[in-house]
Amino acid sequence: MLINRRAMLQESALGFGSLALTSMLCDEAHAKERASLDRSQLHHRPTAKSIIFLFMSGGPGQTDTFDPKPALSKLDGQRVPDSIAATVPSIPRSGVDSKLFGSPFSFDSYGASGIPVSSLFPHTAKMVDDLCVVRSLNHRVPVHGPGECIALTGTGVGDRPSMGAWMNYGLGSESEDLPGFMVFLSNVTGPPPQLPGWGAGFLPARYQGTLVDGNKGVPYTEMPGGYTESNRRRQLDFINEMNRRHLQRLGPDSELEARISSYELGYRMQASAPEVFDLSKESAQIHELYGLDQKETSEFGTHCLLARRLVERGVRCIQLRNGGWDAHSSLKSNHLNGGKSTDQPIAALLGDLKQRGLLETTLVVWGGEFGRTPTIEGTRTGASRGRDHSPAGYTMWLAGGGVKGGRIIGATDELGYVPMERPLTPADMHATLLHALGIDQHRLSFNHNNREEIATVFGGEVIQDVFG
Amino acid sequence: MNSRRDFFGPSPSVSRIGLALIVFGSVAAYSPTHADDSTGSLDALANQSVVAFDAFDYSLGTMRGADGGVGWKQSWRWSRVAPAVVAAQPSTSPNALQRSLLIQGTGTRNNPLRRELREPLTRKEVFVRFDLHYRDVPVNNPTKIDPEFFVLWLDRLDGGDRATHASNVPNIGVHLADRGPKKGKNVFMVRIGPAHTAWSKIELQANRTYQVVGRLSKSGDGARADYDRFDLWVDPMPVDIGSPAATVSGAQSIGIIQWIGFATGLKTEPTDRIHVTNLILGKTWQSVVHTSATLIAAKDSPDHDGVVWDKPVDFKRDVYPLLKSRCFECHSGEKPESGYRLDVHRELLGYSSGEVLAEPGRSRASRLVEVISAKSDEHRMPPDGAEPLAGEQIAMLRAWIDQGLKWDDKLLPPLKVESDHWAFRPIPRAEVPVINNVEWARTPVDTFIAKAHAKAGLQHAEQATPNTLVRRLYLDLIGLPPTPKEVDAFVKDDSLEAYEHLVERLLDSPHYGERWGRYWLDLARWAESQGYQHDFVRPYAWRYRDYVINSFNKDKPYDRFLKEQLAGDELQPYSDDNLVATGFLGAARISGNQEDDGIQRNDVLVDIVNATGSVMLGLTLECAQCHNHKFDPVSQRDYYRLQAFFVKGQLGNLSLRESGVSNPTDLERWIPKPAHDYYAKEVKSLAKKRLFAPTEKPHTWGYLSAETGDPGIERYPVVNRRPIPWRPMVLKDAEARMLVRGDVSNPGPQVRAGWPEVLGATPSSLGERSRSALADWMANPYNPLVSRVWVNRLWQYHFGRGIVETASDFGVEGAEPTHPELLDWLATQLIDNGWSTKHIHRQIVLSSTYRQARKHNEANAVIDPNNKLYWRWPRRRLAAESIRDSVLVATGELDRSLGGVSIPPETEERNLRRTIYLFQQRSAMPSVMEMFDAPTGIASCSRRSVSTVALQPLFMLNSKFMARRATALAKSVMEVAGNEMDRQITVAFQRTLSREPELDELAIARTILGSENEDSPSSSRLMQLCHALLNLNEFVYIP
Repeated sequence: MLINRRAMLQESALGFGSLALTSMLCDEAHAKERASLDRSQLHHRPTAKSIIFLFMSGGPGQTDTFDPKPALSKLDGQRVPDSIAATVPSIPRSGVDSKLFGSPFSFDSYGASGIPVSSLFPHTAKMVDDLCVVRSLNHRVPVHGPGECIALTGTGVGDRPSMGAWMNYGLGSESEDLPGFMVFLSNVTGPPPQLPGWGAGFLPARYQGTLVDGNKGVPYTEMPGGYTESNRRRQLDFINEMNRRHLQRLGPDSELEARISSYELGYRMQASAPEVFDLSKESAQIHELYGLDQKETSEFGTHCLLARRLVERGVRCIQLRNGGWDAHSSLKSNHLNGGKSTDQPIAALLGDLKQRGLLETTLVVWGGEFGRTPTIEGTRTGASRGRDHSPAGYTMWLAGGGVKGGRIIGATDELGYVPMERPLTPADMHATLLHALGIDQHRLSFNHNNREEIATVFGGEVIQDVFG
Repeated sequence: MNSRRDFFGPSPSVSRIGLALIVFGSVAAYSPTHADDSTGSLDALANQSVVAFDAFDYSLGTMRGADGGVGWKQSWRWSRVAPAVVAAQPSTSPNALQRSLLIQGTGTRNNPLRRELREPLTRKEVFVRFDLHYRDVPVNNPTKIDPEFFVLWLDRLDGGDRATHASNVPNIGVHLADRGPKKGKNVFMVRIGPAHTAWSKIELQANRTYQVVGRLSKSGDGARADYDRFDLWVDPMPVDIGSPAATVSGAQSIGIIQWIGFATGLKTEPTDRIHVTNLILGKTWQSVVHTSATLIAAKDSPDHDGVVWDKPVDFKRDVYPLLKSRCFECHSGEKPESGYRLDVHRELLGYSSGEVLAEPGRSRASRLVEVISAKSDEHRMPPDGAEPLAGEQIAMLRAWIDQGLKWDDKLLPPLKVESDHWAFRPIPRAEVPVINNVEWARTPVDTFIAKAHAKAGLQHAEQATPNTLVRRLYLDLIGLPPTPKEVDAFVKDDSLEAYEHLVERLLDSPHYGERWGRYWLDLARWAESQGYQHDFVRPYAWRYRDYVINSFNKDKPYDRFLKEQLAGDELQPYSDDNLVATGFLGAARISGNQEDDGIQRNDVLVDIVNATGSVMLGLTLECAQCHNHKFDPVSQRDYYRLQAFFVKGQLGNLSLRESGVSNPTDLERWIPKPAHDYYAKEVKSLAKKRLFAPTEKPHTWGYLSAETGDPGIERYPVVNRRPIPWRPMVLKDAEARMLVRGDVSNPGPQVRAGWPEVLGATPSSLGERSRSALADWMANPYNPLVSRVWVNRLWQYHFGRGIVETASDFGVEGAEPTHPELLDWLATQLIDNGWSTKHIHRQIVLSSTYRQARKHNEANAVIDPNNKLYWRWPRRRLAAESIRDSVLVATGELDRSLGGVSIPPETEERNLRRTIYLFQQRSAMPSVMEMFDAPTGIASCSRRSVSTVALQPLFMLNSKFMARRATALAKSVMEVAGNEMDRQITVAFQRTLSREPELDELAIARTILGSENEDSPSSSRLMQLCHALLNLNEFVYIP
């Protein structure tokens, strides 16, 4: 009669327990697509198991966050000195012809490292000794959509796999019950989220990020009316039994077996996902820590707390996209809002991971698709002053996952326009993230259109000095 | 929003007129070998007082190597909108060798060329001079000259291709006077922003050369002071320094000059011709007046090391041994280093790559000479510390070039592009094999398959059961499962030709086109939106979807099908249907935030060429955009020759005009609400800028050539953040140029439309309508690819894998055919039977090969584990669309109406139509399509992957859509079966699996329906059973 489903699954050629959920399917046509790595065969010793990418969409201004420029304040209201203007690459809307705009935020040095952080981030500032601040990122695309694609996929066109998909492809998920790459969107105002940012590009679709609603959890995990735990179980047993008979009639078939397993995995995901997303088990202190009790911080705080819970369960890559940083006007109030809604949750995440010993193996990355000009956009005055996009020089930071904290890499000129020291590209950042996970960017490849594609197709070198 | 300003400021509303100008060089004769005595004014000034100059002594046409002159940081940067080209001086010129810069109008603001100075200029006084000639072109009216005409500007920034300078940038040139004695005339002028403009009294006249001189100066001191005064002279005498023709002063300006360039105005036309030469920047009046850049150039750069080769060069004796010993090791043969090939004459001329290495008579501009005589080790050839060529050797090579670049064809014969790769060879007429197992063979297809079976020692599978066959045929041919009634009708049909009749009926079904048209839509990367960041909808793109479906239903000959899609706008007599067919070309994405029109346009052209190449020719051409194909005999030139077919057209909303064309205008009915709101907002904003006006006239989304398109077709504007412009004059005049290294800003030689050389020579004339000629060439029976590629696709869509597994790559690196003769036989059948797709279906579907059961055979599996030789029916999961459609057939809810506008998700429940009709926005595809591997319309998709992830069962079990279907199925089962449990199970099986349950299956189904499941009411239990059946592998795989 009904066979024991576990026994059946163990019999199957797949033995899913040893395989990553997302790398389940195998058949002759897709043999080439199989993840080329498992953790025992990494290219080198990883320093991180998971990555949390805090993507600040719209582009926080570098001179208002982690790259203080006293000269900018001194020259506030004046024109860009020719010596600096001459070094600004010719990018549309680089704003060199408008007036300089000293940051409305003050900076203080924090921690043993004394890294300066603006008044936007009082909580993150306390963790500054864990941060490696990279002040010299730059690229040449001053538009959100392509910029986001560059930041997350490496090129602006949007047809290549996202970094998360590459990681998922290379390593799979450590979790048996959850997708290896999950994406959360918060404060979706301003430029719309770019699908390629978590898409699979030419990689098989199963490596793409799963877009998750922070309140509802993994999609389709809620059973429709009429179902209970027990009748769903009975239904799945029926499906499995019918599928098994079907398989027996047809003979061995890995794709059909994979589909059989997927029901069991889906069931487990359905069972475990609500648990992951149920934050009621977290203590009041944790709720408070992440700011779930306050209006401004509750959305992003929830995502940060979920990110920690997902890391605990072995999810490989978590992308938290926070919108609204596109401060063309009223930069002060815009960034104050951004800071208020993200600062406490981010600090809580770092602290919480650290306290649980997870920060050592979790790489946290912060940054947008570009920074902002040191000048005013247009001719606004007073509180309505804002800044235009500036990909020519901007800041990101990394923490945990083998990153040596309390360090600054790279430097922009005295106004924060372009990197003067150690210019780095998004591709360098991508190579670095892959490296932290034990992946050699040159060796993780996928055959597409008879070409061995790699994640960093336009170059990019590991930023070795971020690691200890 | 930001500080960008028009270069020209607000334009007076003067009517648009044409004009033609030529600017050309001055007096001095130039010859590369003798730069003898100089005029008195030259002497040491050339080196000391001249800041920068350029004589434009470059190869004709191409921009490559435009880095001559002195005082510059880098080579000229060229506009992608309408690049300036190097041209000979007009025939009035005293010296034919003298070159000038030809600048064309574009009807848009353009920055045709600009260049960065080596050092930023901040000195108190700067002189600038250039010569300009304006030629009368009869078609235009030379008495009316455009107000926004032509200037030279000086700025700190390069301004981009569209001349987006700040308003306070100095410029000097010709402009319409809006006040003063010459009001309404085109006069020479200087200005620093619109508020500070000074018009001279000198009117621009045709066919005259003008020497234009300006002095830019600062009243204040220091590097940061503004250049606040600009004086102008036209054709000055040396004594005129005290009496400029016009002066502006007191302007707020810039204090530093790092870039200079030329700009043309909004109202210039493509027929406008402006020639410029003798550009000089100097510190003194004398350094720019009454001299010439050519003379300075001649003074400035003596021949290398003073070595001169004045004897005739003999290629065989002098050149060949040198090239052979020093260059050929890397730069010869099929895969030369960096793509530079020196053993083929035409490659020196830039034939396949667009990069001209040497041009007869012009060693000065030769890239070859440049690299062999480079001073730095890093840039010099031969590389890596090799001994540089001797001065005499360099002189000899220069002389060789200047003496005409003679070649010895016997020694180094011209290259013949040919290949013995199977797919590029003509299709042989394949003989149908004679086999032993004759009784098994139903169509000739079987003989080819049986022959391979016999050779490999395989045993074919038995024929599948009638229940299996009927379900297979329905799912495969129309993408819908049969209803129990239809199953019954077939199973009970005892006639000998029951199977054949069913095949005919299904091929005749209007649902056939919905299934097979979808494959074509995948190939055509079709979707109903622009793509990229904003992804605005294309409200009438659905017409192409219907065109494709109808074409399949009508069994439109495949050659005709291609022709309509490649050339539908130019085919005569005109038909709406043909125009809608250009939706294939129109399916290219358009970026809404590509700030550079040239790149935006090139991206579209690249998309079109890549899709055409892969879909129709089965060639991966993408890589030849930047370099010769690494594996296939396809050159970069081939790529741009294909692109040349499409350069005169543009995508857009195109008018339809036949009576009775359906023309719904209530967009909100078929466009998903968020997308519609976003679109409506953009429409408002564009309408405000007069860039868009909604029209109620019927139209479609497609491609229109400004030159060959039917003149009755109207093109309506496009809704996008940066609507792709429609400039018929520019398009008509558009030249196809190779892009050196694929770089839009580096156009190479012009190319003529043509197909890849390896596939045969393109005739010298393609007639007036070149795209029609392209389509005719594709349909030529001697074309080795088109028919093979199509029958292979059909085979793949029936069996899940093509005879050539890489269905869109028939190139050298593509897969070998498993049954080459069968492929050729099918291709010949296609051509011989009027390119009938349905004829090929019959050959395949009626075969015994196709009718095999999916039955495992251990012995076969050892020999051919992947069933490449078809010893059984292959496993094939349903496509996303078929999964949803099958569910709707099972529940009886499917609305089978055909065609028309799409269905937005919010009305899906009220319009349960086939999935192909759900609105397909690239960034928001219907969830079932996203879930089950449907492509997103970004690039052509020749074969969908099959992924199996845990979210799929969750979707199938928990989504609202599936929950509703399960309820509906239960209800309809109940209607037929009442409350009797076994009867319910039987009916549910028939509805979902096209068969009755086995006895033991009845038993296990009762575990859901029966008392074991007491926590649910009986109606819910039936729902659970139905829901389960819709989840079975048997349901989602073609049996």
